[in-house]
Amino acid sequence: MPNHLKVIMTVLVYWFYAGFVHSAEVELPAEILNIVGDPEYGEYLASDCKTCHKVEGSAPGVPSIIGVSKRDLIIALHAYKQKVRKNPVMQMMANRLSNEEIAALAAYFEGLN
Amino acid sequence: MKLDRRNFIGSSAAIAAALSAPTVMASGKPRVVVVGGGAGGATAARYIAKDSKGAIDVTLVEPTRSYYTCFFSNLYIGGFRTLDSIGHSYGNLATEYGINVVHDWAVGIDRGAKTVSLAGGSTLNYDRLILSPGIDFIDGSVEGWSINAQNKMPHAYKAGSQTELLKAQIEAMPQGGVFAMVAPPNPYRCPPGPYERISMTAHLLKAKNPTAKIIVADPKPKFSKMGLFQEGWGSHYSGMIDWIGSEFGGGNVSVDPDAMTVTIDGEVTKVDACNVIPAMKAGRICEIAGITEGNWAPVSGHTMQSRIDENIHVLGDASAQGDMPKSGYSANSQAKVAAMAVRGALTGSKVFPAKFSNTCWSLIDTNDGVKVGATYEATDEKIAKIDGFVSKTGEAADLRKATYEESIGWYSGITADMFG
Repeated sequence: MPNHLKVIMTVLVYWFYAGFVHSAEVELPAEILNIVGDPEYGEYLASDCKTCHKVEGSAPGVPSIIGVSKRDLIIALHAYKQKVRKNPVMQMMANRLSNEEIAALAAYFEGLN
Repeated sequence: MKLDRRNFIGSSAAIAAALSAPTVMASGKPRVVVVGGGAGGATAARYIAKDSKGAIDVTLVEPTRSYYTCFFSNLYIGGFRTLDSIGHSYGNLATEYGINVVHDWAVGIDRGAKTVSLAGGSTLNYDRLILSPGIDFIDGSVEGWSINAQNKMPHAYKAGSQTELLKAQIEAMPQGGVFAMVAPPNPYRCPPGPYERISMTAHLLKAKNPTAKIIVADPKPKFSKMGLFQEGWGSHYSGMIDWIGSEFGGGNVSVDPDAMTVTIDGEVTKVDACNVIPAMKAGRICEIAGITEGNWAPVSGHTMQSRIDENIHVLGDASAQGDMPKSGYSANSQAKVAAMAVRGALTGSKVFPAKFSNTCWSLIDTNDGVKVGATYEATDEKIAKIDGFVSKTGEAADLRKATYEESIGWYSGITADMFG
């Protein structure tokens, strides 16, 4: 293949993959990953999370979600939604969240860091 | 035209103002009184105080100075938790959230004047009232049992000294003795609770009194997580537990606390310890307030407002809560919806559509935990289930252990959520 075509192919492949998250868990298109969430709505939704996931400190048996990056939280919730991650409580919680609500939650928790 | 009071009230401007603006107080901040400092009331008080950032005066009326959670009280019976570890102080709510914690009983509600009368003689004024009084027992629901007998045959269904008493009675049973439980009819606080209690009692007896027997007289034909409990009882406590459901006369029961006998479908059995869990109704203050229909207080799921008085919200066990079970988790979930609605009504803050959830964990034996849960939404008719899950029989031991450990995390989280 001529060099200039290789360059074009490389750019095109990079451009194609740049829109997706490569993770071991779920692949999310950029338009979902980049939804701008309402942190005020996220705060209300997060009150449900705080029953188990403490805001200060953590307890054994339930992982802390404070300090988790916005991107990682979005991926994790989608992983539960798609049943890639197995915990049935979290699958149930994530299943009732829309993409916008997941973004809202992530925006709220990011604001806590 | 001079805009005097008579003109203003009749004008469209006044009507528009009343519909759209938050309640305007004659003087001072809007006031919320919360009756009951459990999973519903403590959570509601904390969230209103915290999220209103001081814009609302919150008073919490709770008779106990230390709150012993009913949830995890069975684990104390089984020896998995100390009593202290399930006791919580109201100090943080008073010091960190500015809540006026009043240790007294609410004995009267005047809905017209919007006041709460306390047993000690004082009166509290409210703009919005939240009632979260838990349950009371229905007199005469178990033949032969009354509150006079609760020291001989404890209910231990309001945690604290009753739980201590029940555990002590189990531990004092003679070798080969008989423990009986009279289980309650639906609906009641904590559907799997009696069966976790049977499991924890069996765990205690297995170690110290392995030939002891447990009999359960149950007016119901089935119970929450029945398959899971029966599987666990068979594998951990084989031969110890005899569950007598309604089909076998379990609903035809009387007790004699003086003679320490339980009569099930005509058959008299001498017992050494007996846990009577009577039929339940909303905490009596709801009936006094005039907001009950039958045994429970009907509510709108959108805001947890009483369907009878829009200035009163009812949370937790006392409410007729549609598909949600009567649990601490449910009460905590409903409290957040109510807190948001109350703040919206009093300060104009944003109100989002109500979302609810519940998960109930039960411990069957060491590291053998199971769970059931669901999510819910508010419809005009009721709080309706959306989705749910339940543990499965035959699950691997490491999953059951993880489920138990998850419940420990939940307990730590919910009590922090309630008490700060």
